Amino acid sequence: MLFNSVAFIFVFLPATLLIFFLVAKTSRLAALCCLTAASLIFYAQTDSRYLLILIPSILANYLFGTALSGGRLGDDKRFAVLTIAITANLACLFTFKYLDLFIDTIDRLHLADFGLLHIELPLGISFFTFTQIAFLVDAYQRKVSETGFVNYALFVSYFPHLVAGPILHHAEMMPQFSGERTFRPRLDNFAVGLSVFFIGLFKKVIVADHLAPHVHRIFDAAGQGTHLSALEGWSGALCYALQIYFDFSGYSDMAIGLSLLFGVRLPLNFNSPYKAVNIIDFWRRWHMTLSRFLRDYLYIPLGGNRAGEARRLVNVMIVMLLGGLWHGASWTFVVWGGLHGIYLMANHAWQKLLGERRARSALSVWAGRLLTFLLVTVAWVFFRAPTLGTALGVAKSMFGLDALPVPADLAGSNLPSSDVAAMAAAALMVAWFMPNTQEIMSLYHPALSGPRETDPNASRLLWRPTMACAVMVGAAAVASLATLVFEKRVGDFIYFQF
Amino acid sequence: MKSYLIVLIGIITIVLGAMASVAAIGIHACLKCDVLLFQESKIAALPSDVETVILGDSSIGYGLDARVFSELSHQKTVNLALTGFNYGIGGAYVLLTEVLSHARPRNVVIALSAQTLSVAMWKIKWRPIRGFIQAARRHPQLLFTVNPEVSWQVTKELGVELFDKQLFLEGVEYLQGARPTFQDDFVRYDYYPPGNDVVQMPKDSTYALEGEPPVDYDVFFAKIARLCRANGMNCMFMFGPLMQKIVEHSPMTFASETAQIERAGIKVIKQSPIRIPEQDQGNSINHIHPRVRAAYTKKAYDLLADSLR
Repeated sequence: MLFNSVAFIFVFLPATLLIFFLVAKTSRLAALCCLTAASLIFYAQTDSRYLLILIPSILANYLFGTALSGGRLGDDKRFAVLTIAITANLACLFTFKYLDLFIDTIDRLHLADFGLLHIELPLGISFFTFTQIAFLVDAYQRKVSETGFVNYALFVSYFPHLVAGPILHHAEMMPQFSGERTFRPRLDNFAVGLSVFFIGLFKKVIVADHLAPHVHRIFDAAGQGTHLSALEGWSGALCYALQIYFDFSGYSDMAIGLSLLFGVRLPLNFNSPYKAVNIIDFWRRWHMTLSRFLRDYLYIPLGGNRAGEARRLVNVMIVMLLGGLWHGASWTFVVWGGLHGIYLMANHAWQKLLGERRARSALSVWAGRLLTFLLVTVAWVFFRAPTLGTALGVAKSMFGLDALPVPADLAGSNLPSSDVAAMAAAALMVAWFMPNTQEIMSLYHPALSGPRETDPNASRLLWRPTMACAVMVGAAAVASLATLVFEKRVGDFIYFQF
Repeated sequence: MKSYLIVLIGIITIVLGAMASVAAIGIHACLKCDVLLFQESKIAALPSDVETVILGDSSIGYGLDARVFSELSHQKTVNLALTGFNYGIGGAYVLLTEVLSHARPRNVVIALSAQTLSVAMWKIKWRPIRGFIQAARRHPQLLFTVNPEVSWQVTKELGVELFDKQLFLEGVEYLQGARPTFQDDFVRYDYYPPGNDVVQMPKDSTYALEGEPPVDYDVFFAKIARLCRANGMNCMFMFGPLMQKIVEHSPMTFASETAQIERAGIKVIKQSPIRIPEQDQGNSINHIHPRVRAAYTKKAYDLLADSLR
């Protein structure tokens, strides 16, 4: 089930809210059980067979976690349990997500001829695997205080985050499931939660889905061997940069808003990434919960920056390559991760050379912002393309290596239509000049942690429960819902495939 | 916060509700319902002394010329055929109800292709229910008085149609002054203008209507039977013309359909359709070629003659 489907918005969500708060009046535990059951139903709507992976995964990891956080096992045994548990999680992830890529690569290198297994990727497996690995590591380090099974099962399966994040941390979620405030319906949570949800829905339905067909056309044309002009290549890449931002940040806003309806705050996942002045800054703003996970459970265990500058750069590259691979079983994601690894290494080296200093002049800020955005956009080509060949085709066209800078025949070209171009321009202006959702809503803290730096424009656009805000959010909601309901246009979220 | 939520939810509800209302106007306006509009216009102009009314699908729309039939039977006859999968027996039921508000014919002939009755509604995405809603848009009480199953399907379809972009746009068109019309060709041919193409069957065709006929349509036959009894009309059913090879290969289907229709209370004239040999075939398995329309009207008359009052 998708957040942007009629069934979810008009049936599943109201029914779940109603049942949750009604049951919570009599029993909190029963309310949590209801919410867990609703989450499993939500998950099963895509394919009920996926429950055969999710439920055993929750049970096994809970048992491993309990054993690790308990006092009965000695250190050696605990380490063995942790190793087995993480190996089992990674083996599960590898089997469902990467085995076919592995077999394909072996076959292509003519090392053997296995034949693909065509294993279907269970929805959200990357997200719930990472969430649980973090829990296991923290249980091993005795950082886990909450150990109730229902809380744990809900923490993993909680429907606002289950299929596409944010990647939750048990320490910030499980205590909320025990909090008394969670179980009381609150008008401010409904008002703020619905507003954030509708802003996210607007970003997804009106902006991202509007850009998607042009992106598809460009990458499809490149995949079929069409020689694109530089203008066409850039139009596809830029539109994709905006599509993925509005799609994923829209999804994250919707998740944060939905969760707030239940009185639970999710962590922030985006903080205007295209306002980043360098790549290091970009990764502090883009998919923040993934960055946090990779930092805490990969970069730091690898040694982080504690073993010298050279080792730090190697660690950065390892993290980015694995981070790329986490997104999908394709070498295009590895290249995407590798490109970001190179960017980060260069950024770290540059800072080492000149010393870390904050850009001061508006010109240097904008130069950094523009350069970062262009570098990120080039990397997105590899993220979007289904094959390396297609990615190289688009990339070559962007750098004028494949055809003319502008199409010879404008009428028959793959340039975006005027409405797509206008939408892309408007989206870019919003991404660069407007405060983000969390900044607009900052008076009411819809997410667990607010943005560290807020846009100076935000103070003028702060959300308050006024008539004017209600009309604006209502207009955004109507535009999105009318598109969903009347056009029956329900686009998948990009991050659902990961 | 309370007033904010009221305004927010109010805006959403009012605007979506208004859009649904415009779509409802689109449903009611029925700007694209040419054949239905044409037959409704005939009913509106129906002489009170009409003697025979023919209701059915395209097999009889193309296959029976009401003027020729009137001459043969010496009875004022009107052919109100709609189409099979889009309207079928549900559409016939609504039109008969509408006829009764203008006249009380002596004879009512229901003529549907065996193919129309052999396919369950769900297999054709509930198109007959959508047609039923269209046909009954001026008599909404009919939509919810057939049986609970039909009422449920009507409710579901209405739920979809009230939020349909095309119907919304038709509602807007209507509000801007557009009015439903049908082409002049309808008047000339008393139905859809026919095509001269000839249907080409796939090489692997079994030439048989497959499976047991569904029970979906029985309730409409029963409704029509009740109307006939209540109004003292002589109602009968005949199968519309059908490709000869299919007639030869589907005797069990005809037998089952005949049994179902008779159980519902309507007399079936012959347990087998009028055969269309290859040389008379039109652009679908149950359409005759336009040049033989008069001949097939005669065939239909010959079948019905003894049963007409």
